[in-house]
Amino acid sequence: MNRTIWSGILLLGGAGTAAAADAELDYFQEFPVVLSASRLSQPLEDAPNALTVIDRKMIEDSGYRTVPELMRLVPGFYVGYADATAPFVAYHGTTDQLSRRMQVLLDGKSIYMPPYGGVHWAELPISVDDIERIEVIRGPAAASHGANSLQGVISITTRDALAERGAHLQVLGGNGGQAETGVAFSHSGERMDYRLSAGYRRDNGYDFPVLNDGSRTALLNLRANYRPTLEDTVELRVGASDSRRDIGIVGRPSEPFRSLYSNSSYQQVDWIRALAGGGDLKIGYANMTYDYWDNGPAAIDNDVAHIRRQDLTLQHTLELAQNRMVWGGLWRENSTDNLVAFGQRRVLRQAQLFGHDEWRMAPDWLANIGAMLETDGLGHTRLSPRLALNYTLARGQTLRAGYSVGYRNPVMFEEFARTQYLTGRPYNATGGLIPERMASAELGYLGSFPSSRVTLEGRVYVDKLTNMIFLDPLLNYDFSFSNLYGARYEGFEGVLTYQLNQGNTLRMQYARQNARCEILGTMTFAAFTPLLQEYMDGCARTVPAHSGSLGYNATLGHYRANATYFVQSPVQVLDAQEPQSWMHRVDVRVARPFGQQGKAGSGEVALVVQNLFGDRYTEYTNMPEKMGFVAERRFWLNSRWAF
Amino acid sequence: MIRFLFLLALLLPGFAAWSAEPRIQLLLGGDSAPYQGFARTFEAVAEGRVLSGGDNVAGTTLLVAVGQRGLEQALAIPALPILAAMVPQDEFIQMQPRLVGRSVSALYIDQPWQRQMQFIRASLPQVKSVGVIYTFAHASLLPDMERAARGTGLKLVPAQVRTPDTLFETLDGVLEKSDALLVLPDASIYNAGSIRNILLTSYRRRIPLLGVSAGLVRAGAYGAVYSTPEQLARQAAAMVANFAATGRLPDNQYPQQFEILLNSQVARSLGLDRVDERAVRAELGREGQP
Repeated sequence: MNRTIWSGILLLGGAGTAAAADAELDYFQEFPVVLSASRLSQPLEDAPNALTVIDRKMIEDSGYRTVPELMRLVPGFYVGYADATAPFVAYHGTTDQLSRRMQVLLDGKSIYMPPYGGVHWAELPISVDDIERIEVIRGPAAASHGANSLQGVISITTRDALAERGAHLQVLGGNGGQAETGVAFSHSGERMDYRLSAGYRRDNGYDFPVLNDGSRTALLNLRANYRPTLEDTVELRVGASDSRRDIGIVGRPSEPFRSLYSNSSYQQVDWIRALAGGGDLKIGYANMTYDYWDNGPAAIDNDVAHIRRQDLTLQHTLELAQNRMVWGGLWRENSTDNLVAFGQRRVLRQAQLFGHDEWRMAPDWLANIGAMLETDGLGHTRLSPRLALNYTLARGQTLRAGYSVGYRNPVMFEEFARTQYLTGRPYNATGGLIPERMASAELGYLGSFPSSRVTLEGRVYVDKLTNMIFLDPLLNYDFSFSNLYGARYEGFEGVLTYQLNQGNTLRMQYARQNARCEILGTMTFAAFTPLLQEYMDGCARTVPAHSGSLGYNATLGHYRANATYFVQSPVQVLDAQEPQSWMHRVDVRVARPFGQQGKAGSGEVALVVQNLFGDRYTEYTNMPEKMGFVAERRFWLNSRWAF
Repeated sequence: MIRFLFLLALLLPGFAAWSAEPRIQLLLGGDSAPYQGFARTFEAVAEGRVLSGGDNVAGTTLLVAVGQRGLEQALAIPALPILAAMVPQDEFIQMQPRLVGRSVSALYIDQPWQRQMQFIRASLPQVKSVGVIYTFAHASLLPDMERAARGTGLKLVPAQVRTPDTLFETLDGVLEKSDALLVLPDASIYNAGSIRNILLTSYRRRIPLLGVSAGLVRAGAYGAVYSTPEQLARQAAAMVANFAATGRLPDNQYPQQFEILLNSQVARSLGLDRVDERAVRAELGREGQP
């Protein structure tokens, strides 16, 4: 049937002109499968883990401009700042600012980069306006998300052309030299659609004179979808950013004030084919690069690095009567050219094979069974199984019990470091590391009560970690790494939401955490063991005993207002000099939309204040020079316009 | 010989009262699958009654037109009564002026609006408002739709799409105020090119789509109630049998037999209670056909 989408005569309903003369064929059209198995999101009550979804509405209501800040909305998460533009997030404790035990995915590709692990948040080629949703899996998800999903997974999905039509402009200005601007343009056609986004963000950092922590980033990203046939879709994502981040600490000769210049980029292509019977097949390739240049005099010559990751992935989703199955594989190559840290080029190749089945055993019982087999590139192969059982207690109420095992592969730096800095402690890794292991058990509850407009979720968990990698000083005081200790985390997390009426909601979250560590391995030189024991004793402080927030979203006439109170009891990251004090922080946002939403000329202006009452809680201080690093009040005015 | 044929005719269901009358010319509006499906079933049920050959075959006593173009062809042949099968009701009504003086009866392809609304009620009990977007060409359907919706206790949220570039804006506006979206068989809005955007936009808002074809349900709509060409062909044959018995064509009618299809994966993903197709069918059967 050859039919143009529109005919002018048709629209004007010209007298005597009927619709195309075989209108009955409209009843027999062939359509492509759009909501295929892999595109349908699993309902929360069927998920094998505790899952927090931060959707577009939550992102906008909070007013936050970075992903780490948005993680404050997830119970049990810790957000720390090494400096104003070097945030890090951790779940269930972290040893340092690199937070290596969390997987972070951007549209399915891991942006947890070699050689140190960690995510370069300030230099990401996307802005918060490019994000559609963030799904946070609280707990190990190795069986479905691979290596490094030890503590959890942060999965970021970007917006595509359908999210907003036409062109949008964003302008922001705030204290501390904060300035941001962005433009986005979307176009949708029958076969192809795309969204192009460009932006620039700048921040002069905190007022704290000890830190040199400004940053500026220019970014560009494109997301395009092409549908050559009814069954096939090709998705292309490319992004690039150019960044300058200021670093340096007063009083530390090895860290003079200077700048780190970097370029990040990613290119990702995925081909998805809808299969008869409701499943689909996805084949993808992603290439991510991160190049930086640190011109500090502490290096033999300039510290220059070229870092690259290539991923080749395959994923097959199928639907059978009582089962929804996914299986697939990943082949990955990480490479680092950074002479001053390694002395030579380092390459790690890893492979993964995974399978997961969602089995509806009975109307009220759902089992999620999965496993991942992976190699870490250092000669170790590990199997990470996972089992979860979901039971429907009553309508809208689910009970979940789960057990899973996951591994964190040693990063290049831990295995191969051979630093050649002129000052500061050298790292000389002796190698021979094996992957860290986590076994986690949890009991969770999810309840949704539409009549009272309340949702409630809670979970209790025990995580046991072994073979954890830590600094292992050598006789000449060089640093190496070894599998040295074990840890046990237990606690409770809960979230309650209550919708008073359309436009007014209350959200409360709370986490209770407890941590314990013990030495499990042997240091290269036993004389250093008491030093390690000191760290082990401090392990209980690496998680806040209590943390939570209480937030309220209100609609007052034309205005939308949001206020959230955050509280966190003292916490001291393992390598921090002093504990962080109690945090009592209030963030507010007041926004005034205008125009008819979605139409040209509409927009919104919002004022956001973080730490409204100026609570002077201490931040993460990993060096003695940073003592006295106290939180500051930050505010900005943000405006968005549609054309 | 005639007695033998008569005995044979007795064995064919529904045609016990037939002799060799009427002699039917089947005029198909196209040659794609739906028309072929109709023709195959109709010819099987009306074995021997359908004459083959070109236009204006001598001895024809009844024209069975399938689809709009089939009806056009039938109108070109003078004087004979016409059974117009598988035609959309609003198209048929628009053609009334041209049917004056002819004996024409229609078997509509559309489900009666009451059945459509009852289907929504039965498969989505929690839905209170149903959105529908339409172009000028289908504006005449609105009053019947609204009446049927009111009768079932549903609130209709209609919006007209006036120009192509306002489609999504109009859709957004309707989705904002509705619990479900009823898809009209209007290819100027819903076609292979636009359906992806429409399905993803409504899915994003957790709004289920209800349609008029199995193809739409496979694409990602929540459910559909529809009649297959085979079911229409059997009903057309029954109407012809009626004509043979009484000498007059029965009144215009809606499909009596229908299929129901629900997409359980989409239902689960949207957090909708599992609904049994058989239960929905029973519900619709109980309400009776208008």
